[in-house]
Amino acid sequence: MRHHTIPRIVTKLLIPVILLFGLYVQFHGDFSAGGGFQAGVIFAAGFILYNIIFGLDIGKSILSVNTSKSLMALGVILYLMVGFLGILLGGNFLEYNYLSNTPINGQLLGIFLVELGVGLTVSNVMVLVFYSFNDISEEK
Amino acid sequence: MNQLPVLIIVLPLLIAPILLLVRDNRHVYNLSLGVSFLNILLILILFQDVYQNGNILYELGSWKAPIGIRLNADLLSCYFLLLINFMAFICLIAGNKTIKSQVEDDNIHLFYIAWLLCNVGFSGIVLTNDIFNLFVFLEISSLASYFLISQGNYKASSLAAIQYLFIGSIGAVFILFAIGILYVNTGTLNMTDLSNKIRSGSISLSMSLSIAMFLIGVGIKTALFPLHGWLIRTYSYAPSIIVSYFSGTSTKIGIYILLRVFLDIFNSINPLEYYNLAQLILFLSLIGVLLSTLYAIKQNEIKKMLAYSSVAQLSYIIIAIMLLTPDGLTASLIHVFNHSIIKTGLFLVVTVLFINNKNVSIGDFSGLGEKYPLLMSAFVILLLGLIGLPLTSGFISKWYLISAILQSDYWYISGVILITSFMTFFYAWLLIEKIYFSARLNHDASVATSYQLLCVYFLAALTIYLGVDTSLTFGISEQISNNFYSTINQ
Amino acid sequence: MFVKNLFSAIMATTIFSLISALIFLLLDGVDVSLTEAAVGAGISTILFLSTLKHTNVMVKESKTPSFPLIVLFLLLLGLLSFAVSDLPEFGKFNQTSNSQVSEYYINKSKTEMGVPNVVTSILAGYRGFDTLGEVVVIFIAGISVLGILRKRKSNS
Repeated sequence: MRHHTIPRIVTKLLIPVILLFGLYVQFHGDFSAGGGFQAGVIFAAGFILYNIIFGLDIGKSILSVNTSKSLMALGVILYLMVGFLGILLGGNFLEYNYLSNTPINGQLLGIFLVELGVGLTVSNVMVLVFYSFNDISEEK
Repeated sequence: MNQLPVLIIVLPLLIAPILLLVRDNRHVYNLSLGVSFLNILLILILFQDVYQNGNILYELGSWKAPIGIRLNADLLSCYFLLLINFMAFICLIAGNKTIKSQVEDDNIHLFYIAWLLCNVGFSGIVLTNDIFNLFVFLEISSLASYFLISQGNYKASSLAAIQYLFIGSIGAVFILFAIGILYVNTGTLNMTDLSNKIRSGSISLSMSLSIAMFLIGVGIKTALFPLHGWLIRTYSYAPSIIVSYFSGTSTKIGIYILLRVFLDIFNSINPLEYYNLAQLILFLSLIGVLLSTLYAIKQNEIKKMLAYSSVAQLSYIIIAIMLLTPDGLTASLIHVFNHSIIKTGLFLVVTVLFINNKNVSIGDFSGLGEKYPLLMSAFVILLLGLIGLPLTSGFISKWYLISAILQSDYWYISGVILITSFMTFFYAWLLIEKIYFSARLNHDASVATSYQLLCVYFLAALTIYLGVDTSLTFGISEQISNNFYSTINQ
Repeated sequence: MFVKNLFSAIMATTIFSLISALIFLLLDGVDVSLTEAAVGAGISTILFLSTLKHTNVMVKESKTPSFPLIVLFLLLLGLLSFAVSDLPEFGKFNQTSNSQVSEYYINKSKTEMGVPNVVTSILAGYRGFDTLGEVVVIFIAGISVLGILRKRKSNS
């Protein structure tokens, strides 16, 4: 894709917007539409677009396969940890009320952390799937 | 509040992603073995508690039942929970060596992750009191099992996995659609709540559609007779240790969902009786028993033979349920437990003896009686259990099955059961003859490790023990079925 | 279904996804619409195209569906539409499914969670355990792709 000037330039313009929109959907999910799932996919889409245009090598130097794997596991672990915190602080599994000084703040914090976990896992799974598909194609 | 029900689901769930961070094969194995051992201890405590004090309800996030998701540990859940996790533990112990030789080195940690998650899915299905949550866990276990099957070292493994994926997804879609209709009609997803709402409302047309869809979805999961094709292919091409595990768990989960949906959620309508569905399924299962036993005799490959025999035994279980009597339900629950132990044991013997052989035929057993006297006598005990000879657990389940049939309106079915038992005896005898009365072939049956042998002996001993002392299986099954039918007759 | 060239088939799926995203948007399902646009039109198109590149198959073998299959399909479709005919009318206010838990969610979400978006509060709050399950489903999907494709690589 090195010689396709127009896609390169358009992508350069678009990628910051896509990533920013992904972050907005992630962190603003409780006030407007969106949440971890959507944000994760949008973020991953932006990153994959970057990979398509500028090559997998540069992409992998930013986010290697192993890091991506670890992040994918960490997302699930984060979600579970929030759940276990509920038990440790005297409530039930996934009870957010005790996470902060007031129940409402606790709920907000809980939802924020949980959505972060979802976003991490989803985006990294998408990127990993993309990597694995391309790894085989390259070998052929 | 008692945290046990959720811990049983969540602890292995936490270990699974951690395994991805660990990646070292030895640690991965030790961790998964450790967590499943811990799980069995927790389940035993929970079982004790439920047995003495009745149901344990657990509200996730402390949201009250129809608003949030609730777990419900009752006797039926604990019974299946114990069975499933016990099988997982046994297979994990016995599987270490075979997994090393059959699965790619780099994939071993992924394999264990999928295995743990599959088991988490099963435990979740059994414990949850929320129908949509049940579907989510069904998805978890199915997805994990597609991956596990694809890891077999046959050429056809991936094909078997993808065929199972298509069939399983169709079943899942049917179940999802059925749940959707239920929700539109009642406005709730909690099972207890659903059951109450259905009791007060009338049966609408869409509700009967929902029942039909549940039946098809669950039928695929349990390999109900005309929908059993996937089971044969899966059992023939999956990694053999996974076959041992699935033969004791995967289809039994289908039975559990069948019981939950039709005898618990719909208990006030009792759709099995209302639409004469029970007779239809009974008829299909009878054909299933006859045909699959015939096929089992015809097979030369032992895995296929045992797979067809599984279809036949599952049909027994379904026949017992479809009698719609408390005795029938008791018999089916006993057979669920006993058949799991026997079939897992049989597959384990095949697994540990023939690690490197891809297609194990009956002839490969020639003369093994001399070479491994102890292992083969355990194998024969398990086979006798499969036939249902006295002093084995198979006899107990057949006994209760036949007495339940004789007390119901369908006494003539007992003839079919007897005939198929003789046919089972026939193909089991083919194996026994090869083991003890044939000249030894010069082949390399691999040497099993002592852990693997212990597992097999333990299962064989359990077969005999459950054939003598029935307090665990019969006592609890009877209590469960009395609970069910007392609510139905209200 | 009728397109022979797989590339155009993929493009048709993408367009279908975009249109259904629009439909969801019109039905006020903003969250669903966003997901459909991102997953259906975005990621899955990329994955389909990578598969296409990998397999090098461009044209589908032409196979007209057999007549009994079509009849069976139509029969099933008719039966399904007949059976769902007594479901409550779409968008009706006073129906069972709207009066039970959903009413609670809509009324209490703001005061109990402090979150204006009810969808988020149900997903991550009230039914957080389901969402945990869904994340695990995606996690397994990732694991499976990793495992299966790696196995293929070492085989070839």
